[in-house]
Amino acid sequence: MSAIEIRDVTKQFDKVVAVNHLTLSVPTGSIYGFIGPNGSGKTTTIRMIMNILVPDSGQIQVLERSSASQVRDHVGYLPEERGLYKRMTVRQVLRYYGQLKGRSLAQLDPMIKSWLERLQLSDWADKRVQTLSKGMSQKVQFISTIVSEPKLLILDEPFSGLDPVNADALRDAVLGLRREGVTVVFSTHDMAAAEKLCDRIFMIFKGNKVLDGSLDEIQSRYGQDTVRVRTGTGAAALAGMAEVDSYIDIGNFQDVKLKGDAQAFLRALSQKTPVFHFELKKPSLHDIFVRIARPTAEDMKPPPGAVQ
Amino acid sequence: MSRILVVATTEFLTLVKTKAFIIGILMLPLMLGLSFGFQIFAARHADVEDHGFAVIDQTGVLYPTIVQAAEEHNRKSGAGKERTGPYFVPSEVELNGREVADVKADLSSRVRKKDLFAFVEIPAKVLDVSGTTADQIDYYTETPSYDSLPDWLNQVLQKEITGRRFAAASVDRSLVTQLTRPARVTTLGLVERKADGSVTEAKRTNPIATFALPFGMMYLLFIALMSSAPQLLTAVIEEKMSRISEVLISSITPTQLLLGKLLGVAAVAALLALIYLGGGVYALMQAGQYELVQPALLGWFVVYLLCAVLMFGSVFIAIGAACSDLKDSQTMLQPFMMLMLLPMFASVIVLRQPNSMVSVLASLFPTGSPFLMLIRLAMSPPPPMWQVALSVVLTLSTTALFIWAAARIFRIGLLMQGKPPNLPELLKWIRA
Repeated sequence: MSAIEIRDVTKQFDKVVAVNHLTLSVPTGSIYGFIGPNGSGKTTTIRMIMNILVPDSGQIQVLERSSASQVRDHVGYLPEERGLYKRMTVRQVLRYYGQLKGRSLAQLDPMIKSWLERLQLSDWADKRVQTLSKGMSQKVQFISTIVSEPKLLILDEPFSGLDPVNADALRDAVLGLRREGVTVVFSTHDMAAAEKLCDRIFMIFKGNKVLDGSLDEIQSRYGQDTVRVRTGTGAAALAGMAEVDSYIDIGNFQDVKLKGDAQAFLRALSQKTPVFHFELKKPSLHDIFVRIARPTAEDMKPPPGAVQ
Repeated sequence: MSRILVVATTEFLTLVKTKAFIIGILMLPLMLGLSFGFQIFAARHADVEDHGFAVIDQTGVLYPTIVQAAEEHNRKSGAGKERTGPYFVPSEVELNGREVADVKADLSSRVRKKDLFAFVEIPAKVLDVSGTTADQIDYYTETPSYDSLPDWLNQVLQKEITGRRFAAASVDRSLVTQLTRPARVTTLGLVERKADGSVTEAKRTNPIATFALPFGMMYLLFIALMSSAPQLLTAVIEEKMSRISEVLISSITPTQLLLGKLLGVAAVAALLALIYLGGGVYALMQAGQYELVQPALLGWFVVYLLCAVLMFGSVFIAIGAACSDLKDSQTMLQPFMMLMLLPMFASVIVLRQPNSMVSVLASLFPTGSPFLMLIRLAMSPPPPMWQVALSVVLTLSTTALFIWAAARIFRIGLLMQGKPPNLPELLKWIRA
């Protein structure tokens, strides 16, 4: 069952196509990471899911309804550029946002207390928002998103600007919510966070979907052409080999990007020099991200077999 | 509806808890009180100087009268700490064969040196029965704006001079006074025939009821409106700039948000009006002006206040949503500020001729109606009921139209950044 179904959605601003014929399905109960460089269409996609922007064409279903507006009370949304009422206290803000989601104060107050304790903000409950640090404000904003107990949580860059301790606290909170059955969609530039948290990853680049799948699926798609080797003659053995596209010398080891099959390369290499270590290497999400987003004509092309 | 009330309650509490609101509430009565207090203080204490003045009395008989009148005036002004007015201190100047021009030059020098405040030249001809209006008394001073001394002199000398002219012409002054007593025109209300056939006495018109009450009601409505509705503009721009709007409209519809904000600010205006009206009613009761406390008029005040706040409030919200900063909003606001101020200018005509064609049309024009029809309702005779009903219908319809258009602009403008839209773009948003 899908928490979000996006079918062939396109959105254009003037002559710029922000999202181009996007199709995506977010399974219920999963953590789905939206990645992509700045201006690639992540926020536009999220805003269309939230029905803040209307698609030019295509359909979006949220929690099995034709629009997020019909299920507003069950969707928590943390926008990328966020703000809070500076003159209100933390408790007032959280109550206000919760009440707008149709929750009563009797329902909200225990939730607010519990989340403030969990994110170590209890002492700040009755302080004005303007007295909080940036990290604290961000945690308050996060609580405001989840205090109404949503079924679907959409977080646009939730970890940006957070120190490692607070980022970990928020990651734990997200994982906890997933365990409770909440579907989480979040966009991020933090590839490490995406690798750790996400069940599935979607990457958008220049409005087009270039990746969609589990981390394993994506890595195996991109990981066939890189090996780590250790040979008797070091990097010198790689010079002039027809199978080698490029390599990075990291001392005792060399990371080699191949033009063709890894086994053929192993055979050719072992004929030239003794091979002490040969490892098929999975690229990190960071590597894949950089490879796709790097502004060269070759690398902008999705690999064969990537989801179109 | 409950979400609208949540927004309204939060808006209301946010606005009334600000220092600006509390200062705003205190400001009007404080300013009025200070203004009255200062005037009373100034009247009592500002002018407690001794004003010495020289008199060139060419009649030779009027100076003693001036001295006597000055003593009487100074006695009434009190002494020491109880003194509440100036002392006039005359001194007679004898010509002793000198030219009048030379004497006047000397006296002018003394005035410049502050040895004297002024001097007066009374020509001999002023007592002639056959004289002309050219025979005037000249008052010379360096401070022509100070009129207490010349006014007092005028009063003292006119009485004495005319008395002497009557005597010279052998006319009985008391008879002249009796015959020339004024027969003034007094403005009264109408008489009524009672059930027993008798006719009631007409009442004298009350100057407070005639002008002060209608103008005061309109002014109060204007103050309540201006103290509340413009805050919507800054609130919406702040929410837009800090991206709070995006969170809000992911929870409720833009129309719910707009209506909540309008209701919240209408409640603020109502609270302000309640405080001021309550104070006003209390003051009138204390002053014994019971007939000025009209419950129906207070009811109309509330109706028109709510219409005005909702109508202009929706404009402020729409402009706030369309603009990205306060500077841009000021330019867009100017035509609407004129619409709000026009009734203040038109009120002069309506107060003078409440039932003229111009007044009727102005009080039916929707953006002016809350102010001008309220003036007419506070005046006597009140406008025909059909005109009041028509004004309410027109105002409510315009209010609904403004709210509808504002909601359309709000919905689109709230997420727009950068350059504000021009008029054709705004119209496109409304039609979208």
